[in-house]
Amino acid sequence: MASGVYNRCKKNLMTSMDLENDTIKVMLLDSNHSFNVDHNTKADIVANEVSGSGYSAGGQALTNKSLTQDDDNDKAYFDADNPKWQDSSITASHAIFYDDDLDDDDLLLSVEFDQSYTSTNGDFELVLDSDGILEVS
Amino acid sequence: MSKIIERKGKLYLLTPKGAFEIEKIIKKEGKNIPIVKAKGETIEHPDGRKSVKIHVPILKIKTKGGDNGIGSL
Repeated sequence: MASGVYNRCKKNLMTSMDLENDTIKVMLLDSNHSFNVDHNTKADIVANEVSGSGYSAGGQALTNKSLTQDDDNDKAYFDADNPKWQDSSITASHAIFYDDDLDDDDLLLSVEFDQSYTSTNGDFELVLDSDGILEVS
Repeated sequence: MSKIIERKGKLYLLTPKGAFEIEKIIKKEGKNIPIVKAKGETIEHPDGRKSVKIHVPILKIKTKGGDNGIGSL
């Protein structure tokens, strides 16, 4: 391939978004939400945010965030610890990641579940892929 | 490397990280793009509590060179 994108550039793409240093949050939405790629900010989706014990509006911040450059496979990864709402009673169908440090809470990623799931005084955990949340290749 | 397999009438995206059921496949730029939803499991505790684990597949952005410029997303 004579032309392409350097791996450093892939990593820097996410660095310029400052995924590593900004407060990146994940919030849960109910089944009334449907993914629309043209949505831009949290205000576009917040109407369908879940509520319940063990869950605070706006969701929770990701912890132990990391960016990795993989020269062997020509990829870059964004990863964090699994988000978990402990001792919660909530029903959710979507998880939305957004940048809480930007003025309008810009949206990053949307994950739809195969059905609605309900926790009852238990944990609601997002088990992230072992490679992370986002891959740029 | 991932591939699409069929089992009992359902399509799955088979990856080194596990199998994810494919909801549908769309065509984009001549390629089959599988639409995958995150599968979950509910754990019922003896004391009546219920916990949930959602297995979230990694989301991917692909860059490419050539006709669309030096690098496009």
